[in-house]
Amino acid sequence: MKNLRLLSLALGLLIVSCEDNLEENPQSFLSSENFYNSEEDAEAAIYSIYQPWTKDHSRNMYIMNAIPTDEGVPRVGSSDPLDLYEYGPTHGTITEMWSLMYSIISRANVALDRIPEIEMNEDNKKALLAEARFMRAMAFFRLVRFYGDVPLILDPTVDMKNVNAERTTVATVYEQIIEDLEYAESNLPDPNNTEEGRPSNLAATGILARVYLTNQQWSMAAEKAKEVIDSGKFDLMEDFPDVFIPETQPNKENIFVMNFVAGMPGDQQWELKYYLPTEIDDAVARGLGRYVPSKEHLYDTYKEGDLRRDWTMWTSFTHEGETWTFAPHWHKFMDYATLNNTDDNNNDIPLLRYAHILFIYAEALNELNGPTEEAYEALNQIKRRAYGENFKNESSVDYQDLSQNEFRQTLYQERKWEFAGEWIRWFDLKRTGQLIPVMTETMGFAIPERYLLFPIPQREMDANPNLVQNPGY
Amino acid sequence: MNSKIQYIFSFFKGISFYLLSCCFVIVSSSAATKAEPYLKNVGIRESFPFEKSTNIFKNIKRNTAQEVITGTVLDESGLPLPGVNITEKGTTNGTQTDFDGNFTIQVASSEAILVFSFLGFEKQEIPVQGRINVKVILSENVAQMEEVVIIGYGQQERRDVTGSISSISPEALPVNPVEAPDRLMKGRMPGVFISQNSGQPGGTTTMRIRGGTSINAGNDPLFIVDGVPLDMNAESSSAGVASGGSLNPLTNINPSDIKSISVLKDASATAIYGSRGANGVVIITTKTGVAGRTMINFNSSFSLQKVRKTIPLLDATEFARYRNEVAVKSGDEPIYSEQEINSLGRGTDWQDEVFRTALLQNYSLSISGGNEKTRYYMSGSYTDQQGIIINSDLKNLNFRVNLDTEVTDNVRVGNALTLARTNSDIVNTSTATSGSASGIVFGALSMDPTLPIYHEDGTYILSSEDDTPNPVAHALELTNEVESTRLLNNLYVEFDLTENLLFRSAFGINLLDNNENYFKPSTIYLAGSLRNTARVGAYQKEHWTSSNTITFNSTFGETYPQSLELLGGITIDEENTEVLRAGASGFPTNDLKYYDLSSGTVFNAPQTFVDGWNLISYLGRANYTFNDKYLLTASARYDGSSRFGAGNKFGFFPSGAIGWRISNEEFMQTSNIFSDLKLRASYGKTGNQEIGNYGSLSLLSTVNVLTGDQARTGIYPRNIANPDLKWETTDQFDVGVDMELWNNAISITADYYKKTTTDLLLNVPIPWTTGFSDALVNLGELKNEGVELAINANTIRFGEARLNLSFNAAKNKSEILNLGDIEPFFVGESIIREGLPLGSFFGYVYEGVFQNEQEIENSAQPEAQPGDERFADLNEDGRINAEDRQVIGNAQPDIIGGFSGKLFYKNFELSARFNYSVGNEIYNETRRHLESLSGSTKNQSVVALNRWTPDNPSNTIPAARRGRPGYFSDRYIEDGSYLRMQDLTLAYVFPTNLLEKLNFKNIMIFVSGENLLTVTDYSGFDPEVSGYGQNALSQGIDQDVYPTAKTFRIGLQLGF
Repeated sequence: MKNLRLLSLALGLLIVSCEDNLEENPQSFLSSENFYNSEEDAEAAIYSIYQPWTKDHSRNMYIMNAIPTDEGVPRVGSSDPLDLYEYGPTHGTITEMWSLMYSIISRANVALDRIPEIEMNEDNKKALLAEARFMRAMAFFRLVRFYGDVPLILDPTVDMKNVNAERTTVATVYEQIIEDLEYAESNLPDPNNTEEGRPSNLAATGILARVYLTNQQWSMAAEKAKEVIDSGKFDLMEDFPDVFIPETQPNKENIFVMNFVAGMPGDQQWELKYYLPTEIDDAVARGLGRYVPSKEHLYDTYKEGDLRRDWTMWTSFTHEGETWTFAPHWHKFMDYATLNNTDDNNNDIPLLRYAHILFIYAEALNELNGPTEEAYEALNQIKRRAYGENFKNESSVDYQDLSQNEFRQTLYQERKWEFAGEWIRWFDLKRTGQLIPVMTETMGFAIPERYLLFPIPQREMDANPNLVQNPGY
Repeated sequence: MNSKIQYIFSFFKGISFYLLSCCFVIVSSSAATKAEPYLKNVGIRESFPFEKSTNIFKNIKRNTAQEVITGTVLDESGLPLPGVNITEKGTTNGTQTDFDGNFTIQVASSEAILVFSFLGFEKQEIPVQGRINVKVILSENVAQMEEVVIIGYGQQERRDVTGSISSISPEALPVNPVEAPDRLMKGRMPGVFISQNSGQPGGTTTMRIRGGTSINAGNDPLFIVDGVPLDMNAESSSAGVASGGSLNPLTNINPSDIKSISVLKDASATAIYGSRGANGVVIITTKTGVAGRTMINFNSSFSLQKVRKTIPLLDATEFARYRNEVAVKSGDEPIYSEQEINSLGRGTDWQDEVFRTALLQNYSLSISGGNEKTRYYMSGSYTDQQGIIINSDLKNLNFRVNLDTEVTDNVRVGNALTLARTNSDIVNTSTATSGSASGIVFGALSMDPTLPIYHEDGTYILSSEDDTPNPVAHALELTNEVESTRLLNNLYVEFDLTENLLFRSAFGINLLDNNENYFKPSTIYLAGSLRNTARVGAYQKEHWTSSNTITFNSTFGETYPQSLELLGGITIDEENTEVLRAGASGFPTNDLKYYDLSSGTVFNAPQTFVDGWNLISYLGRANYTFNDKYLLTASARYDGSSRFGAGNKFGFFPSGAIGWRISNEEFMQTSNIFSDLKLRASYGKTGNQEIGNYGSLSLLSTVNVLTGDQARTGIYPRNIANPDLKWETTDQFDVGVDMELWNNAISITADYYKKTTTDLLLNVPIPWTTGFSDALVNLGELKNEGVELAINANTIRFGEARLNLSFNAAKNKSEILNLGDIEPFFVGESIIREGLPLGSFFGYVYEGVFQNEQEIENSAQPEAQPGDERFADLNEDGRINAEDRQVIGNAQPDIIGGFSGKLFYKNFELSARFNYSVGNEIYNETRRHLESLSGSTKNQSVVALNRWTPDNPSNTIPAARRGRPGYFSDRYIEDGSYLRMQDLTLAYVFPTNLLEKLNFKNIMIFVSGENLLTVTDYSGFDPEVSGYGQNALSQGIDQDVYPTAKTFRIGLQLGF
């Protein structure tokens, strides 16, 4: 009997074990069922978009925009297939660019899907939706230029149905980009109410100008550029270096930037680390010297008196009486305060600045009507500043009396000098039809046509049977 | 040079410490013996705890009615039988014969009856009848073998087993095991694949029983140590702070404590473990004391370890010429002038600087014994192992207390406790696990040989021109430690409810506490900043398991004896983990290392993470035997796991098996070939729940971003929810035969099995356009089919010599049967595709080297240059692209196995154990970068000397040039078959007369070697390799892995 009592006690304990325990209760994760309820949730959804935007962003953009052009070369002795024009669909940067852009698109799509249901201030809601659409447009704008036709994904993925999207034509993708940017233009706050790193309504206008210029819709490009110019919110900085150094950021020239502060959470700005020459003593400057500009095709092409060359690149450095000299290295995003601590520095990276608007305006006007007075003024403002003149006043360095084609070619040259190291060169060469001829001349052998587009990453080709590779790869 | 002196110094220090400690033990124990008469005189004897049967006191007669009986046990040929169990009938009093067959036992009276039993021999009962000396001859048992094997939630006599179970008994274990139990199992059990992933002290092994059953869920067998599950997936038990290696959880088990290891292979044996049984189950039990027999054992050994081989590389002069050639070819100036080259000589041999002769010391002490009511086994062990790479090591301290006691006649309580503490310095080796080029092995192979270790001022040269870090500096200066504390405890209580009803309740806990510390001083900081960086992390896991079972046991039937065992029970498991990480950088000095994070200037965001899962199970089993001929087993488990979708939490896993002991049939009685012959067949289902938690839910991730100079938290979906997530199920059919021939002179076990896994838990890569990289689904089928054979020749005699031999082999073929509508996908360089086994390497087919422009024009690679690699245009479309890849190798072996032999001659024992693997291929990624021939500052293998040049038209090694696209081809796939002498040991057992003089029960000295001989064509460090650790999808990839060592060992075993 005693045994039976013990047994029943034991069995009693067993039965207490309840199966409710099998319910999962993740404590370190939020669940999407009980999120997206408040204004803070909506903002958090928007902030998440900036992580893939800044992650390895500048390096990837540099590698794809500078290395396969006449502007940059990897360091001596390196063998990056992009530099040698031997790259294919397994290249790491080409692969990462694709995945990061679609992360932006996916997070923007989640925000666009969930935020409308949230009860919150309607103006703020519209602004956040506009921001998501702006960022989505930025990602597609890059994708469509790098890869051509790409899957146009506008809804969040919530299950395994229809995950294998097909490519959408470039024209359709551009329609969506323009629609998103137009929505952003009408609903984003003005620059006075916009933080560093986030877009304003005029940033959307400026990017629209750039999109139209890329598509050679000259009058629309000119119109949008003019809107930015006429807004009076932006202007050139008087001195070229002040655009880039942390001490004078934010500033009136930068319209849209990537925001960095040393020591803050989030992705780190790493320009200096990769650009600083290894020749300088490690105790003074800690650089990898990994990406260097081309001496022959960039440094030596600047004209006498152009001050941009020596801010964009440097060839020597003196510190406490010691001097190091080296081949031209990038210097544009210099932050002397963090020279020996280049894991992160303070420079915001400009993605759209007023000078760019002036260039768009000048180019579009020239294409429409030849070099008009306004076109000259826009281009000359940039040149005056480059030569140390007051950009507001007519100057002896001004361009004048150019034919339409001369103006066009001159403007292309000026863009190269102005934007060197700012991840624009490959886009420019491709947009203006110069990529194959310029690179054939630079490389010394015929560049095949296929390089007008980057390949779709092999990993994506393997995962998605509905994708067709770009021709030639 | 300096460091070499240090090694020599530490070697002598180590060996002298070892010899000293051995002397200490011998001297102190013989001193105790000598002191014994005096102790007795002053009355201390009574307090001496080992009094009852320690030899020291055997001549002293107590003042009771007890008698001391001595004697000898011989076999029929007159040879002494060691290890025979002798018990006094009706009591738990007992002893064993020593090596010469001698025994001494105290019995209650001169009327006592002694029972002599020994595996493979007939049991004998001898009445003492007043004698004080007994000579017994045991005859070999023809019919029965009473070996007991451990099965799930119980044990069974081997002859009644209907499932497929391999086991190692204590006799088969090496004389003085040092390393983790998985190493002991190598090559001993058919169908059990064991491969050492890395040579890091305490490094992990990959174990597969009858092939892997899963693609993305776990493939590791379930380990049960004294009733408590031990998670074998070491990679998951980390705070993620220390990088570059995980510790093998089995390091926490002192191998000298192991009593038996059982491997349950077929569904009949594993279905009782239901959802965790699909990959097989390994049950380890540890020793218990024997009543009336106090045993003190001291084991120690001292080993030297060396890298098995080094990779021949270019020396400085050859390297400089190679780089010059590439530079000139690219239109640059030569990098080294002729004068510089002439002064280079051989340069630095970085492998020589990084590898060392390492010392390994091991001490283990155990005491066991007990009385009628209580038995105990206690042990402590200490291992101090240097790694063969500088600054890697492992210090391991293990304690065990096993206690069993009878509270009343029908209630027993027991506890098994293990406490283990491990301190390990890990060097980052594999580029796969470190994710960067700072791996030490990578550095040792790739570092520029023209560079010295130090600048002239004595500071380190930090890196080569292309940022390969100085491996010596990184190995020595980086702190990368794991301090691990493990507690395993299992408490049980057993009630005999009635004569044949037993209730058992057990509660076990497995606690793991890992502290990880990382410090990178500013002296080795590569580009970036001068900042030093410190990180600390804590990983805490608690797993508790509660099981309650009732067993009914009965034998009945007169004419047809039958037995029935019924088992029913409920088990509950719960596991919770917590991770905490913190870090800082920019410390004013390197002296504080990670000890004062607050003195840093920049702080990493602290991170915390908690996680958990649980399992509730109902289980049952019936074993029925009829007339000792027909055996029947049925078992089932109903398991509920938190990890699955709301409607799919529970799974049902039944199994059934039949056995037929043909040897007991009438018609076999005339045959004297078979002493035992049993056919068995089983079928059942098991499951797999080894996926991450929360896969069925839609969760969000957080990220830190910066806008407006402010830190912001972004939140976004982290996965695609799968509310239908359910069990992965494995169906297994097994048919086997167990036979014993000629009075058990030879025993043979053979099995055929077929396992089909359905609803595979698959992490399918999906297009990035979804915003996700993969999704967890149940999809597809995987098959494993194979045969296993084990043959043992038991005790072959040649005069005075005895020889035991065993051999096993297993062939397994795995195949992915279908993947539903999912496209074939890639994991690294491996493809997952229907019709292929896992581990299929997929790449281009290398056809040699382009010799001239004409060959290029006629080829599918018009942009190639002479000297470039030529690949097969498989689809003949005139170009080489992704469509020209095919399966170029497979990491899974066709046949694995091992053989071993043990020879006894006089007082010598010689044993050898071999294991082998046939037909597996290795992707030698290390060689891929050692033969990249790109002219960078990374060193190359000597193969580069044979590179193509116009004057050396090689058709195997391409030319050196910059920027050749890095195609993955079969050029890097090698045959990984090998035959390895895992272990060779020569032991000398001191003869009895000498032992008596020294007052020891047993003294054994031995020398042994591990890994002394390996026959293989593989060109890398070692054919047993896994750069990705236990990852099932990336086996057989050699990526700068910590090489395995060969070991020379001397050791001593003392028994009191």
